[in-house]
Amino acid sequence: MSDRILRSAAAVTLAGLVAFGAWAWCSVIDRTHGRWSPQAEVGGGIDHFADDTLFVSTSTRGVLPVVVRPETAITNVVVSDTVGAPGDDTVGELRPGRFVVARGHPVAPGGPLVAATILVFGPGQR
Amino acid sequence: MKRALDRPSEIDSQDQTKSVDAIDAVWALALAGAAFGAYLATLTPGLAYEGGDGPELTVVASTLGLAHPTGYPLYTWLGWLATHVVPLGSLAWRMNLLSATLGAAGVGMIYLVARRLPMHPVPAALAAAAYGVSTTFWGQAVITEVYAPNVFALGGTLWLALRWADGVARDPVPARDDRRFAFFALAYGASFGMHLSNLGFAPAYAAFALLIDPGILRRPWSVARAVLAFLLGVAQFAWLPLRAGFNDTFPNSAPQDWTGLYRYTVGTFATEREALPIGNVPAQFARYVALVVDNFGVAGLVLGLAGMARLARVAPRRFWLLFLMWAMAVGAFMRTFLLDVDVFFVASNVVVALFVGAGLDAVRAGIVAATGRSRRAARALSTAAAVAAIVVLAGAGRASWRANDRSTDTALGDFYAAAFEMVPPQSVLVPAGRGAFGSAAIYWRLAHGGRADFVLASDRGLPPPVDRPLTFFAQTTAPPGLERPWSPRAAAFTHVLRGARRDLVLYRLERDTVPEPWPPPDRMPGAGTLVGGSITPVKSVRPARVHVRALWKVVGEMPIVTTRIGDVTVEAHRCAGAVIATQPASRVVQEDYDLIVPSQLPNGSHPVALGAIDYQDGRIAVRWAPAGDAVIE
Repeated sequence: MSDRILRSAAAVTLAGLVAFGAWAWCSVIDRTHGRWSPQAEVGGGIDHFADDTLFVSTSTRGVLPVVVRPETAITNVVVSDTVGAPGDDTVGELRPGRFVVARGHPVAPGGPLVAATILVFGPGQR
Repeated sequence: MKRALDRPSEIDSQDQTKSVDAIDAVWALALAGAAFGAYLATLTPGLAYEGGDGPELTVVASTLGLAHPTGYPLYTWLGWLATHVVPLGSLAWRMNLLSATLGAAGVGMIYLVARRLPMHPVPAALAAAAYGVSTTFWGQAVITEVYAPNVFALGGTLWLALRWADGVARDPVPARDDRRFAFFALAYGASFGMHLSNLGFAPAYAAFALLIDPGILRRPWSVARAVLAFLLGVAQFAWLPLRAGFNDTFPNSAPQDWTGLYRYTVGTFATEREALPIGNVPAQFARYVALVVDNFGVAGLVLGLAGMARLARVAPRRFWLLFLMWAMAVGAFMRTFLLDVDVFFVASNVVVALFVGAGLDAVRAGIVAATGRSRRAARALSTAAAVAAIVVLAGAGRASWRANDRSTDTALGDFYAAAFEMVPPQSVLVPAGRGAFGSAAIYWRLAHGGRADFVLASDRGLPPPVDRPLTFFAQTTAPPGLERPWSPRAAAFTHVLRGARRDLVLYRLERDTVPEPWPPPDRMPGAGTLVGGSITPVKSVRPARVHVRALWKVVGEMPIVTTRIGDVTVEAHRCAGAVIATQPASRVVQEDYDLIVPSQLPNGSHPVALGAIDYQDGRIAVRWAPAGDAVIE
């Protein structure tokens, strides 16, 4: 196969990749507010309030013993590190556009996962 | 017979064709050495808490057992070597060291791979460094896990493939190249024993082989030799049925026959694949982009795209190799349900780093082109660009160091040392999880000569004799998760030991007691006020313990309470004591438990404070109250 064909195919592929990426990005952005839109309810028995402050009780940094569905985005969160216990680290830097992703392990394949331990608070809401 | 090859057009001919020379080897060693130093300084000192597989992999490697699916035979053997050859530290530390060593070697391999793309030495070194300081990889290089060692396997395989391609371009004798191709095939098959996800790169390698040397199909003996070499590498999976009886606690079908072997290897996680709807693809892709930015920054994302274009132009066959590898990983991610998303991309991030390097190479080439014949200007601008990149990488490395420094993480070891001291003889200890995730206790008994006068429930699936009046202890996050056929029914859970992680809690199971309803995890916590209590030293030698007795006045649901020793907040938990008094608007709850004093605290006396977390008005605050002192000698 000639270099010309390979380069042409690469150019088309890369153009498609960039176009797809731009489309994907825009499709998950709330165009009104310029923020990420939640794609689904947060799962696993998690209280999902006004997305303003996030208190995460995790087993370790970035490893949540909680099910946050992979299609879920939590919008516009500010992490409070008031409680900075080693067992309660925040999930790294959360910010608009960053998904909270659960890492955990089911008790058995296909079985339920460990309990939810993530609480999301909004001002004045309980 | 025509033999195709890349003809890079903009890189000087010396760079195009020269083999890896001594200077490159020195650069690779220097990069690997720097990475190793950083990983060693931030290495977990014992059992790695992060990454639930670490204790299991340590036990399996040190005893030549069988790891959880997909078996990881090559990793197991390397782990056995590490645990038996390295004369320093605990078994767990030696396994962590294996991650650091092979991870650092992987960083060096990335440089060598980049040089064969081809790439100028400076962008190649920057690409390797960018990968070495990327936060996900660093996090894996300081714990016991398969991902960092697999980067070495992946880099080595890639390097062998590119070396073969260079040989095809240079060497008119197919036989010599075909031997190199067979060696690549052997390494590729062997890499499955590090992580079977490398199988996903097969289409990319196959396409690359045909693009570089389509004539190989007309040399059946060469193809047969490569296939045999590949199968020889894959033959390590015979280890699985040989050792199928070793680990009977993991809830998978044992790989004792062909069906079991399939389910244990390529058939594993079958339910997770294509679990997400097609409409979720845009969000998944955006998630992936966010992960790339996390590891390489926005600049890395832009450089990566530029690098793709650059490589497609100067070395289209190599571009397609890397692009297909990347596309296979990202494509698989689009519809796969993954819990550990970040580590899924540890391997494909190698390709991203190479694209970033190619992007930097494009910048270098652009500078050369823009400055025309002025070598001095080109050198000055190139140096400035390289310095800017180094400054950015230094910042990223500093952040990654802070984020991944596990050098003081003794939580898991502290907990099991204390738990093994506390559990009385003739009792049953039920560690958290089964199989891979219940192995920390097995490790402790194995590696530290732990007591054998109590039953370890997950130890080779030994069923506890439930008819005898045994005392059950359980380490679990949520007692309702402890659902075993033999577990005591209607048992109440009383916490007796708390460690420095939320699930490092030891409960005593009170048999024949109707349990209190466990508070649903989504219920908002109530308010708590410390109205009395004491801190009593239990043990001052590491791991030190104090006994906490706390009286909480509770309004509403049980509050979340927390403990601080010195300046370190060591734990927080949902208040779970006995109600000793009830008033119209409140209750008084008494908690009694031992608390582990983290071993990373210095010797001396440390003040202990108890606090209740207050969520009023949407703000999170802790009201602390001094309760006593903890002593470490």
